[in-house]
Amino acid sequence: MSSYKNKYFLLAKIHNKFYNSLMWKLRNIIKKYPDFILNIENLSGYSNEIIGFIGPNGAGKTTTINILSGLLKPDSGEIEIFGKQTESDFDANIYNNIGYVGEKHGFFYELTIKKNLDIISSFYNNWDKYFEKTLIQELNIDVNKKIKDLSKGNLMKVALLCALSHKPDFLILDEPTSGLDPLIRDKVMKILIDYKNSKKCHIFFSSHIIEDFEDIADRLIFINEGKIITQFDKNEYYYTENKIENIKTIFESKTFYVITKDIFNSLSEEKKSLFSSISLKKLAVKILKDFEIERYN
Amino acid sequence: MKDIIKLIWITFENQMKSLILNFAIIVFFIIYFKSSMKSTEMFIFSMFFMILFIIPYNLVSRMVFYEDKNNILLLLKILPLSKKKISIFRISYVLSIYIIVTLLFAVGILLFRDVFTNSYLINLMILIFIDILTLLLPFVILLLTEYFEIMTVMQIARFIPLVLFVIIFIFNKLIKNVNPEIFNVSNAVLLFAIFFIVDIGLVFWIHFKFINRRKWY
Repeated sequence: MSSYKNKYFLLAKIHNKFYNSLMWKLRNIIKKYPDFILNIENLSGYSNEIIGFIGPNGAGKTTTINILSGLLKPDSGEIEIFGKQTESDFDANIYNNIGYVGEKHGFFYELTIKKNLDIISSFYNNWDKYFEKTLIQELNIDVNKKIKDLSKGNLMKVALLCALSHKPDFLILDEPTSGLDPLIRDKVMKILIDYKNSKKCHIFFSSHIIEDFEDIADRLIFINEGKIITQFDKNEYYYTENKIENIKTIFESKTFYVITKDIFNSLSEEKKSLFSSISLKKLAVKILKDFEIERYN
Repeated sequence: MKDIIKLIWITFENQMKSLILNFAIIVFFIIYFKSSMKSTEMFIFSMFFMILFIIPYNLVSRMVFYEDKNNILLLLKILPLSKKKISIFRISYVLSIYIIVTLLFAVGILLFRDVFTNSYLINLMILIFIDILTLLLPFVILLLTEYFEIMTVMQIARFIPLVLFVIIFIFNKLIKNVNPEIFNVSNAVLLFAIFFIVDIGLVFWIHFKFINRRKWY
C-alpha cells in the first residue's frame, strides 16, 4: 500500500514538474462563528505558482489557511488536495508533500532547535538533510538554541526551515514575514522564489502587508469579511473608473476596472489615457475600500 | 506504534526541566512547612498536596498546551500521521498521566503509611487525589474533542483544591478541638461529589457557551 502511495506521489511530482496542474481546490466552504462567517465558493491553486492572499485583519485569511491545511474542519464544503478529498479520502501521506507555517507553531519549547528538527524530520520520508543544512546557513539559525529562547522572527525562521526541509510541492504560509526584520524578510522572499522556481511547486501565502507580494506573487486573491472579493495576476496594475466598451476585463466591479499590462499595451493612446497606473498597495486599498463602500451603500 | 511512543517520550522530555523545578518547589514547601507546622501529618499532607497539584498540571498543560499557541496537537496535525495514530497518541498520553499520578500517590501512601494515623487525614488525601483526577477531566475533553475553551475551565478548576487546602488548613489551625469525626468517609464522599459536580458543571458550561467558537483544530 505504501509503495503504491509513493508511486502516486512520484507520478504526481513528475506531472507537476511539466504541467501547471491543479494542486488544491476549495468548494462551497462555509465556516460559521457567532460573529463571523467564512464563505468560499470556489478557490483553487496550481503548481508553479505563488498565490498572495491579501486581506485586512479578521478578513478570514487564517481561517481559510487553517481549513486548507487541515487544522480546521469547515461546517460544510469540499477540500481537495493533490486530487484527493481530505475528508472522505484522507491520506496522511499527503502531509509528506505539504509544508505549513502558521501563526502558531508545534514545537517542543524546552528543547533545542536541533532536537526539534531530529524529531520532526523522523516523521517525514522525504526529509532532505542537505537542504536542511543549506537553509540553516542561509537563514543564519543557531540550532543549539532552545525554541523558548527564540524571538518571534527567529521562531518564524525555524518554522520556515521545518516547512521547507522535506521539499514539499505545496507550501502554506500564514503571514510568514511577520516579525522579520527587512534583511531577513528579503532573504526569506528570495528563498521562496528560488524554491518555487526549482521545484515548480505551489505556494499559498497570506499577509496583510501588501509589499510582501510586490515581487513574488503570481496571483493575488483578495478576501474581506469572509468572502473572496477578487483575484488577478500581479501585472494588472492599470485601472479606470469609466466603463470602457470592448475591452476584456479580467476583474470587473461596479466601481472600477482593472486590466492586464498586455491589454493596456495593445490599447490606442486615446484609450490608454483613460487608464491610470496604480501601485499594488494603492490598488489593494482601493479594492478593499470600494467593496466596503459598495456593501454598505 | 514506535513513533507514538517516541512522541510521548519527547513530550515528557520537553517538560523535564519544569518538572525538576516543581520538585524543587515541593522541597522548599516541605522545609518551610516543617518549621512552621507542628503536626507532622500536616507537613506530609502539604507535601502530597503539592505533588498531586503541581505535577498533573505541568504534565498536561505546559507540555501539551504551552501558552495555548504552541502545542503538540498542532504538530500532530501537520505531520504525516494518520488520524488513528493521532487518536492513539492522545489516549495514551492522557492515560500515562493518570498512571503517573496514581503511582505517585500509591508510592507516597506506602512510604508514609506509619504517619497516617488519623482516619480523617487519609480521607482528605483520598478526596484531594480524586479531585486532582477530576481536574484532569478538562484536559481529557480537550485532547479528545479539541475544545480549547476547556483551558479556561482548567484555570478556574485548578484553584478548587487550593481553596480546599486553605480552608482545611485554617480550620485545623483555628479550631484545635475539632471533632475528627467531621472528616468521616461519608462527608469526604459528599465533598468529593460537590467538587466533581462543580468541575463537570464548569466543563459543560464552557463547552456550551463557547461551542464551535474557536474550534480551530
